[in-house]
Amino acid sequence: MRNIYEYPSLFIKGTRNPPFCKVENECYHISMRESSEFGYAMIENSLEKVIDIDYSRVREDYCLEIPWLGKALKIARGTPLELTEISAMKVLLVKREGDYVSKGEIIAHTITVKDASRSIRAGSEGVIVFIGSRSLSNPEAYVVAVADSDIVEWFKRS
Amino acid sequence: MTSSNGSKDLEKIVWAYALKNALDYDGKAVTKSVISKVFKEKSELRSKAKDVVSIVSDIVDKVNRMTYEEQVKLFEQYKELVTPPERKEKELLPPLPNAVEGRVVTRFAPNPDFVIHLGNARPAILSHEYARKYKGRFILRFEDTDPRTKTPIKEVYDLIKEDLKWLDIRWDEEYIQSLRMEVFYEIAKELIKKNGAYVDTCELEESKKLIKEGIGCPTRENPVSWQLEHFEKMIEGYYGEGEAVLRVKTDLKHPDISVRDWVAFRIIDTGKHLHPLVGDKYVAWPTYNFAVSVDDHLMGITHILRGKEHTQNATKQMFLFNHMGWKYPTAIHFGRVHFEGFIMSKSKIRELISKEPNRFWGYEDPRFGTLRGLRRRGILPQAIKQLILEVGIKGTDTRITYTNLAAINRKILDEKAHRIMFVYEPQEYTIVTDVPLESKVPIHPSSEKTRVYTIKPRDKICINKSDSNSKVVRLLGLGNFMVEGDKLRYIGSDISIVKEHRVPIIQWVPCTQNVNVSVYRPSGLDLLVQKGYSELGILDYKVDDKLQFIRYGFVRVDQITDNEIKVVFAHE
Repeated sequence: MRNIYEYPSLFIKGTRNPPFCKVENECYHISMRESSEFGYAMIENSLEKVIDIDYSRVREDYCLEIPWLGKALKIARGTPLELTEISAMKVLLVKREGDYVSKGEIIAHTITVKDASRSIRAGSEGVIVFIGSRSLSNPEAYVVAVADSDIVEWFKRS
Repeated sequence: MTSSNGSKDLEKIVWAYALKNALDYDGKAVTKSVISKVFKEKSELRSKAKDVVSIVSDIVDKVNRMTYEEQVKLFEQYKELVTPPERKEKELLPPLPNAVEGRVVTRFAPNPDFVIHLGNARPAILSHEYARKYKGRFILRFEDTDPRTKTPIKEVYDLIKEDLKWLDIRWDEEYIQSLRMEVFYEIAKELIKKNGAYVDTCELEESKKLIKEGIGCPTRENPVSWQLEHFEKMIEGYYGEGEAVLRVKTDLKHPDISVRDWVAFRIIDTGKHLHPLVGDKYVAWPTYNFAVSVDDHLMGITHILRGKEHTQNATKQMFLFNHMGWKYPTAIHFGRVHFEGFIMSKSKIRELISKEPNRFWGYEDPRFGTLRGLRRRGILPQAIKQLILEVGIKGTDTRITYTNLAAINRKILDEKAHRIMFVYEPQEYTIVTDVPLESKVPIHPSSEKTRVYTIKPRDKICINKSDSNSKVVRLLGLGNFMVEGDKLRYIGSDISIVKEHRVPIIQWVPCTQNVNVSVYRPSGLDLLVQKGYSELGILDYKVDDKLQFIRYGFVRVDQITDNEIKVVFAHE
């Protein structure tokens, strides 16, 4: 059973905040020493730092450590993304970062202000590389970013 | 396409978006991204998706075959199409219903039994903001008419005013309800004369039972003269606690039993429960709902902003307004905010302070969600205000965590907090150099002002133990050093090796000239203390200054003594 309180950790290229995420030889490791260009960033308010919502592209190279997979993914600046914006009174995400989705697969259920439920489906096939929430928005609003699985690089915890 | 003009317009837009996309991403536009942008801006084109896709891929192809310089040059022609119109500063608060500029009157009405915490800062900030937005009046009113269960505390009146001033809230008028008792008595008598209230002298349980049955105490039907006489007796102290109450007449069949004939006045034995301002002068005290209604009317309040837990109170108050022929203000009930990670419960904080006065620092303890606690922790009033305004007045419930507040605070502090080098697990090293070295560390990245330290050959410096594992380190402002046992050999100051060889840039302090620092880190109910040394530059600061300890986090200077400086950790 996965721990619902686990969140991915984000490391953005060029950020000089510890800890740092170093990726090499198919492995990654996290250290407090400035061992890499990927520095820690708070995922809660980094949506627009890493995702160009206007053009659906990755704005900066970043690594996302996904604790429940024991892996980190790395994605390069400029990578095109399929963005799904989900906004409703209540949003229940059924997919998480690192999950593979096929086109049309349900990624979230929502409840509208009129208490109607809706299913939100993926617009394309790929890997969920980021789920950003609009900080403190009300109703709830999320952006789910899916990238072509061939473009995403994976690293195991060393 | 519908017309050749339409087609040309579309092409222009696509050129603009494709060039912008290419310039933003090292000269390479992506068809999918440009299509997504086109549809985002021109959703009406979705029905012509096939044509759009074909035009976009054709133009993206052309753009990608151009050199970067050609792209820049051509983009000049299309720039206007993608430059967004100057955005107005985002209005965080929606317009108030029924608001007329110059006539909006709002109020903040705290009970002076506790200082302000994040929860009640919300109505204070929102009510004040709206009053200013509409160039109206903002009233501060102390609601202190319950000396028994919500006993007011004398010094808290002033503490609340200090808290509000700290939030940059200024009020136009100030009232204290316990000093307006005669007004409440007069209005109660008027209400009785209008047959809108009665004195209930039944036993409490009997009275509850009768109201539940939709009948009420038999005294309900007594004439007005009897009601006035017995209300006067209540005021004069003829009745003891629980022997009589004044009730507002409501619909006795109201589906919510608590609304039925609600209590407007009750007897409180102020001999036992002394009021801090008026002592035992009064025994008949108005309830919250009565006093609020009267004052909201008399003070001309036009808009009430409060949590939705007050919805039931509004229903009760409406009966009084109707009896008196008053107009009920516009009430906005916003959703509940769950503040996660803050200790905010009044009773819990009171208990902790009284039981363990040596462990907790009173209302100001940085572990508490009181404004004083947050201030002591280095949270800025602007951050609190911004957080509250972002949550706004929506009716839905929200969750706020310390991380949310810290994120806003960090953004504000980062631009102005001076940087200080602090080492908390010191490891001594001897500097090996032929000549004295001069370190220049800017007090802030945007400032030209630096702190200068001279390090002579064989001087000792301290760095964090965790930083000592590298072969080469760059000491901030001093230069690059080779780590050789307990020595640091100077090897130059070329910054490029930092990038090429990923040399860590670390903070340091001279071992002989430094300042003892204790960092107090709130962690739930614990306050962890981390001791270390900071550079001498910290002596330039005073209590309440906020600093950034490099590679550590933001702190607030809390206390300066001869031996050490005590700081409270705010956040990373």
